[in-house]
Amino acid sequence: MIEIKGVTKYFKEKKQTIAAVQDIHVTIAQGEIVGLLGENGAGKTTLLRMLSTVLEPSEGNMFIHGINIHKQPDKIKQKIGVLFGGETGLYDRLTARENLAYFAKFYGMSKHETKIRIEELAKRFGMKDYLDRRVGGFSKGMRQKVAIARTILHNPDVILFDEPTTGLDITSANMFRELIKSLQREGKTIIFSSHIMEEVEMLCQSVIMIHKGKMIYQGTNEQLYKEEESTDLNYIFMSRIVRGA
Amino acid sequence: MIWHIYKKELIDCLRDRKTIIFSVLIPILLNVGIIFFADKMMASNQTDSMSVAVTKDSDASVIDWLKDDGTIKVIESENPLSAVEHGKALAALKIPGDFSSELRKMKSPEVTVYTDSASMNSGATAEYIQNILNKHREAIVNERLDQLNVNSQTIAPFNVVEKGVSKEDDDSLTMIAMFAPMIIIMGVLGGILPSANDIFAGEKERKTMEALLMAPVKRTQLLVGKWLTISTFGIISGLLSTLAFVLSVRYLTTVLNDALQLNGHFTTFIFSFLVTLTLLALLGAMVLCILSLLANSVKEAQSYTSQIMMVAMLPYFLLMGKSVNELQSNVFLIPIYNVFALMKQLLYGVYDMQSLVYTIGSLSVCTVVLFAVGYTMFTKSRWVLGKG
Repeated sequence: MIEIKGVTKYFKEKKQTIAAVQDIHVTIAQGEIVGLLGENGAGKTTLLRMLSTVLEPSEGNMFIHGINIHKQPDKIKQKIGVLFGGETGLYDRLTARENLAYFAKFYGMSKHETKIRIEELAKRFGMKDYLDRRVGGFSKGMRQKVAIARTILHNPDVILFDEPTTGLDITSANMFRELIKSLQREGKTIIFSSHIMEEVEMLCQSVIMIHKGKMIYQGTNEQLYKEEESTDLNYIFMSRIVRGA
Repeated sequence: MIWHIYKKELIDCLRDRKTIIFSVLIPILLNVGIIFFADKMMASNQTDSMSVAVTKDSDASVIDWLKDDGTIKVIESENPLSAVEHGKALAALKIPGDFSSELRKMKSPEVTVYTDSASMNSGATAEYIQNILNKHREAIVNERLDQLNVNSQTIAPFNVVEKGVSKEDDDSLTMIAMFAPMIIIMGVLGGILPSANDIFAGEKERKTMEALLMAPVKRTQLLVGKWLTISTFGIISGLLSTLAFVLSVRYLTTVLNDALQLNGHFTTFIFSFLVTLTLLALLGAMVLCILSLLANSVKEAQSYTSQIMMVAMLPYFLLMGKSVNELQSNVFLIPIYNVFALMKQLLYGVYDMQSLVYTIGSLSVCTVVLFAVGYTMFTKSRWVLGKG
């Protein structure tokens, strides 16, 4: 379970204080897939960065399974997996296996455990052929598969995806969507930020909409369709932004 | 965990072959080339004859004085000044045709020496010619005094003799002391630079830093692992530069080779050298870690770090005209400057414990302070994540 209580994040820029995220209150149940929607610069990435412990909120608190994220970050890091799309964050001069093994050690996995887990993930994502090749020569889709494998390497309960299908071809994007479904079947809690409304509609049971740092909606898709008397998420999103609520 | 990070960073950097070739190996080869040519230049200075242009109608006795010396090569020319301007002669002499008869008439004929003021060789040739002419002038004066029954010491009540007290009078050692600190210290910094840019600014640019910060690993461990990797490259590059320098002086040079003697102080030299080199690498690595953290991209980091190389070379130029005897103890408290000063001392065979202790202490304190600054920056998302 994820709880976000009154979280605000300020950034100082040229002697000005800018609120990237303002007074966000969210509760996400275990095993739920939530779509995070918002324009560029709305505050989605800042919110996900705070959940991933990289940034500290200026105000408010965040909890995963009742543990305060910023008071016990090391404990939380064991429970979450994060993937920021577009930038896969892999070391080009290391092989896919070396990239995965480097991170596995941080999660306290033994050499034996790492070996088994890497083989398992390579089989799951069809990476066996290029597991021992350097990442620098990989296509975008291949890199994304390695990055996803790294995200779920330690079998986290909570997974944060920030626009993970950005720049992927249709096959890789479909593979990714199938992965999300299978992770849901495993009972993982997933926050999924995306610009593609069809993707959100297809994968998520509920959505959070953010506009200019403020949350303008949180609830199930069904409830949203009912409120807006439409099932076109794209239209609903645009009209909510225009209304600002 | 630090070892795990260190090992990965080392592998990652070593696989970047282009950077290693261009920032470590090619500079080493260039340094070897510089040493080789400097030696050849010194050797040719010792053996080459000095060419002097004169007119055909110059007095024969003066020409004979020059020819008798053996080092001077006299070139007859219609226009001696033009010969100097076109590089055919190092100096030109204007000698009156009636020089000998004027001398006999007890007049003072004038010999003019023309030089190329932009050429050091031309200046040296002019000085050499003047010494020859002065010797002959003294001989004539003595002869005339004898004829007048006057003791020659009447006009030379005392003599002044200039003699050097230190080894610095040895040109070869001066050259070694000029090249060695520069090559070795540039070697250390050359090794640090690309790895520091890649490990911090490069990781920010590629977003691997963000992935690392999300993993359950302490930031101190990350910083130390990365810092040690960068320092290792500095130490290895510095040692390779030293080795290339020593081997090239030993096997490629003749004049410089004579100056490279440790005279039984091998252990002290190696200990002082290795400790200083290691501390310099640790300090330099931390300075570049900080600069790399300030930058958002490798390109931006490169523009910062190239400036620091210039600053690091400043002590080298400040020390250029200084003798090891002029170095006071307090200069060994100034970081970087003390490394150049200590290397100069070691090369001149001066083994001073106080200088070594001051250098080690000063570099260590400076590194600790900079580590604290680097750590503070590494804990702030503004520096560690960069823009975006």
